[in-house]
Amino acid sequence: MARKDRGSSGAWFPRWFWPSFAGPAFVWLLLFFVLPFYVILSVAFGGLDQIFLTATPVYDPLHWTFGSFRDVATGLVTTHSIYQETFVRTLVYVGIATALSLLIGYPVAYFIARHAGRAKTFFLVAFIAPFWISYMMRMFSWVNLLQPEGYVNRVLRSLGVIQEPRLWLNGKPSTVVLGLVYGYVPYMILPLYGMLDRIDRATLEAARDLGGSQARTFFRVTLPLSRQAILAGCVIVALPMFGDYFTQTLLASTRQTAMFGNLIVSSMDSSLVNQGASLVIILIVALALPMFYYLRSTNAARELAER
Amino acid sequence: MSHPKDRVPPLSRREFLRRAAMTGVAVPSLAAILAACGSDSGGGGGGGSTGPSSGGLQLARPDNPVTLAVTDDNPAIADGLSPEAGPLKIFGYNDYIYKKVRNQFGDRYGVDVEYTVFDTPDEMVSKMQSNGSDFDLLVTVTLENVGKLAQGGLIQPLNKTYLPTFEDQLWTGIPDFYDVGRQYSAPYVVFTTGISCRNDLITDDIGAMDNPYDIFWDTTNEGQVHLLNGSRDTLATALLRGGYDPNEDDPAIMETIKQDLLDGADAMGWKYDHVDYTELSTNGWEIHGTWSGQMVYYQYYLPKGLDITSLSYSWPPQGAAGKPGLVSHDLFAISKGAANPVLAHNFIDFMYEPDNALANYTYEGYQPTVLSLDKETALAKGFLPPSLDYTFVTEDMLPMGVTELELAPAVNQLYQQIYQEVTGGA
Repeated sequence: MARKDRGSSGAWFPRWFWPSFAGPAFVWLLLFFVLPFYVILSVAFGGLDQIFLTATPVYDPLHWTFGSFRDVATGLVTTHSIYQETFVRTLVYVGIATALSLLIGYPVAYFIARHAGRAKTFFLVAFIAPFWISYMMRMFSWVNLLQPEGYVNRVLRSLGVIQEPRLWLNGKPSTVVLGLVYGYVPYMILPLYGMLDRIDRATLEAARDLGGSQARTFFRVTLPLSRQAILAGCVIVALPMFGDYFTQTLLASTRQTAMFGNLIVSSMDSSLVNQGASLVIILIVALALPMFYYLRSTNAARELAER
Repeated sequence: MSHPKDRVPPLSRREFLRRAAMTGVAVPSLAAILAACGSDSGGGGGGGSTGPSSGGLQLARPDNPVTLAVTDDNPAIADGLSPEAGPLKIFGYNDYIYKKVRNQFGDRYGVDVEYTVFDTPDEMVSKMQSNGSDFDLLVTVTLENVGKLAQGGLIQPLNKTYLPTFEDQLWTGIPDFYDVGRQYSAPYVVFTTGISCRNDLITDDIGAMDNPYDIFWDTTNEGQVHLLNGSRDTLATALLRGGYDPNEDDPAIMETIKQDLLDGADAMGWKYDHVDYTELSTNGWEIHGTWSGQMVYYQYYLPKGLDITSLSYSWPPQGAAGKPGLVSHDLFAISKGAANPVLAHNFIDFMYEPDNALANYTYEGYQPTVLSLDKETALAKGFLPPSLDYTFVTEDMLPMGVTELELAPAVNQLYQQIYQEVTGGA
């Protein structure tokens, strides 16, 4: 006979009742993460059809071979190899874009949370509304805006900032970075806003009552209290940026600006599919590191709060 | 800090062993399930890692024609069968067959025609391997793929008794060395691969240059040059520039070509695509590797104020120096697992009827290899701009060109590795 627990209402439930609520999430993870990831492993460590040059996944780990993975891993530590150059470039782009997203996102979130007053909802909706349009369409619109005869060049010329049209779309790293910032900055603002909005005003007033200036209150109270949101925002924007390939494809599409995601996509579309799957594994491992740091930091913060 | 009692204890040795054992059971189960779900590696007829895959692939060349075997387990359909009830499922490039023409076929045979698109030949091959029986007719099969598809058992032999118009209308001089006797394939469209340019922005006369391919490396055009994407076309540009065969397989030559391309990519900031006609309205390029079939499209995408005479096309064999250039044709083929093979044959034949061929050309831009369509007709009907009439391919141009052909698997992979290094995956 199944053991039973007493719920908060006093009713008795079988022991499996509450854990079963995790069932949908478990199935979801199994179907859409564990299984696909295993297929990726089977492709990375599998073979290649010698007529069609397409992947022949090997699902039995006992028959896995690691030649392609070794090639990619060696490439990553080899100076001037395409893998290392692209990885480092992506790291730099993502680092700069994340920092810019934070620099833009923090003041916006601070303003909405602290100073927007009754217009708070309006500002939030107005800010997020453009992002109801798909990422692809928004990037396409930038392609038009950044054309030699597009509005951006026209405005800059009319203001005398530039004399000749700037060729924004001809493989400029700055265009790719700004495209990434534009695409992902809302994901930075929302967690920041959520945290800043929850900071108890009484805490800030106490700091001011104790003689802290506005700046000192911000740096000693607001900023430390929003540290977890900053971390969350950075993780949320940096992870998808790392795998992004579409922004670069649309706004630059040159060898000099190619990102890690482009390398994966181009590998998957060719006979380099085993290498492509190996790149995916490396990307996942690389992204797991900041994710673990974030989780560890969150746990530490929670323990601190529970003291 | 939380109370020690509240902390999750680390795994005990017993618990660790229990979980490890469960994982040990789960992984082979997962592997077995996935293996069961997966397709046979490599298509029915021996395309896998066993069979004739590594050693059995015959590389067709004009001086080494290949007759693709018709086997007992993959025969052509019998004579005299009635068309099926459909729907006819076509698998091809986007916009490669005019919808109006497809509808006319549907009306004639009382069937629906469904059209599924692929983006690259590699994608087509991959989907044919996994879901080949989902499609009846393939449009377009490139020359370098027909041998693989036939030897891999993914396409079926044609029965010519269903193709009387095709037999009557097909160009007489079009080669069949890749499929002697056209047992598995029927030509669809023919095209050259050349260089298009905005002559209102570029003063060079590309056709008059000693080596027209040098224009792609001319740094005065930095940032304004696009190459055709795909490993074969990109590498062919450098191979032809260097005076080599577009199917070169010498590792030393390939290394030289790679360096030429890397130098060009760094100096020029090349972009890689095949949608030059849609980019035209954005003034996004000045020089573009392109196919002759695209030139008819241009007139429909011109930016405001730009006249079609601002566009030129150069096919190097027609230039002053007579440098080699690419010419090729795409093919129809019928899937081995086709549910509607008779309809698929009927459709091929339908596309060779003069009116249908002409109607399709007006939309599609690429020329069918149909005797009834000539340059005068294309000009008279207003579909071919007079300033670009030289882009029209005629049978006498075929011997002037060279063709990208099937490569040995290892060489093919080398091409794709070089392409990835040159483009950075962009």
